[in-house]
Amino acid sequence: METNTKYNFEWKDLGDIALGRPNLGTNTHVIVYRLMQYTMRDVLEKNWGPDTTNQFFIEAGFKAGTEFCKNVLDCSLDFDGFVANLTETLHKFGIGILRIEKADTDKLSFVLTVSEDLDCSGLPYSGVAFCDYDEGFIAGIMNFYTKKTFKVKEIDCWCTGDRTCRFTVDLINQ
Amino acid sequence: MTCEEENILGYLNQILKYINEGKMDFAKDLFDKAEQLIVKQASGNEIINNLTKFIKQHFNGAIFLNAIANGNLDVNPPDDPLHQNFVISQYKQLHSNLRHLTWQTQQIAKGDLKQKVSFLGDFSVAFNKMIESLREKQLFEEKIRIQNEQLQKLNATKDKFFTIIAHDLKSPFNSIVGFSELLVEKVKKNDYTGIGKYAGIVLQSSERALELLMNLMEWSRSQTGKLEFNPEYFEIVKLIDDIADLFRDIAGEKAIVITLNLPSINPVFADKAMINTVLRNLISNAIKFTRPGGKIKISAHEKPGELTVSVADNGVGISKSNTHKLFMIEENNTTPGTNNEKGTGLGLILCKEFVEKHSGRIWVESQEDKGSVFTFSLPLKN
Repeated sequence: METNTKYNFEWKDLGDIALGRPNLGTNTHVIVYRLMQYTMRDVLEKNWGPDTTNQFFIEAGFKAGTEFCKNVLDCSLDFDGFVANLTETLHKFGIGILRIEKADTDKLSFVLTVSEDLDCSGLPYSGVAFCDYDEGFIAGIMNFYTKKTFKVKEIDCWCTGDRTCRFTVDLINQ
Repeated sequence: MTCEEENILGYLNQILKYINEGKMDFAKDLFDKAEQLIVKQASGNEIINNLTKFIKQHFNGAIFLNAIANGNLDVNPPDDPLHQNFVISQYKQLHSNLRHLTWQTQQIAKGDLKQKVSFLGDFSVAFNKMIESLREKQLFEEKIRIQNEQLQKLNATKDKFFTIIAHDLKSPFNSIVGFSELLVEKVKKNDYTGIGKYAGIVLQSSERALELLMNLMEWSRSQTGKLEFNPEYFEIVKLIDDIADLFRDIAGEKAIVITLNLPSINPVFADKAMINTVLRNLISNAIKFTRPGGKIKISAHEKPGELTVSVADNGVGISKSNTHKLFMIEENNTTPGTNNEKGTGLGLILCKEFVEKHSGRIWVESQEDKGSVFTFSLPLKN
């Protein structure tokens, strides 16, 4: 099938931040991140509708999670070590505070929470879980680490009145 | 109040009792009945309507709390303002905390003592103190283990020292004294037969004793911290050449040929005396373990950031089980040479210590009956 793809993301596309931002470095304001994410959501929804937009965010999150896992996390660790590494890294990068609520390592089924989430913590109540990008991001990480496919579903969100985002992560039997 | 309204109030009263007793299924059945009756018979009664609304909210809140209490977090709080309050979200948070605490406890049980609890008030303080004390215990045990290792090494060092004094050093002196006495007797009797051979044995034993004493002295100084590390720039190729020359006579006695493969190398920054000791020991060992008529090749190779020097022989080689013991003081590893030359095993230990003082490495590749290659590396300064 012929495609018109002009761009295919690679980690190196993020550039040399130390070189490019000698004074400002890696820091930015969360508002700037959210401004980009929610204005983009606005434009995408108006052009493609909410369902397709959600799917875009899930796919983009998946790609980001995969690349993040490949380039930042230590995949050589065993599961417990990997979770410790992931928790520390998510905190260090200001993405959120990860906690594990349930872990069935035999069935590869988990419940985890992300507090102070970069995407949604503090957003107004809307009654709808909003973290599609996070769902994809977590799925991408799990997929790259285990080489298996996962279904990630957000079951609680700041936007539905909770104080933390809660995700179920389940192996998809293929 | 009509009879039907009194009936409805009775139902509502019973529903409250069921809720308080936790009989939620009974409460729900009765509530459905009551709601149907209210629609038909008491829709205009404001008191009954308000009471029903309140009981409904109370019922939904109780259902929610009941689910949370039973560990079901996949439940949303009721959407009425009465129960969408701080208390309900805190209940949910509490349960989430307890679940995460379970995970943390499992990780601690597996030895991850970096876990810290940052919720549950006084409990967190007590819990974190417990982890801290476990961590201290772990550190203490680690300290004891390291001390034990050091003690074992000290003990091995002491044993080695006594072995050398009591046995290895005594042996060449016995030869020197014995053959000197024989020489004196022969000269007294004007019997000169064999005196060349005896004098040779005295010389060889003296050289062995001297080499041993030099190693012993340097080792003793390094063990007591009296050996200073004095790096300087010098021509290592010239040093290798000079030392090889010194050993050519001894090698010649076994008809062993020493060849050099030394390219032009920039001066190295190292402690010349220590490198001298390393080279002396490696060449001396190569002669010792090479059969008469064998070959020894000394080569040096410079690559970015590192210089390697190798001493290769085609001698008896070393078994795989012994190669790892060669550089360990704890292992009493000495083997007589091909001409029954004696050794202490001290030389290679000194070599390792001196090379490591330069942040270098020393290793051996060997095959039994084929020979050995001892190589050491020195980091090069830009």
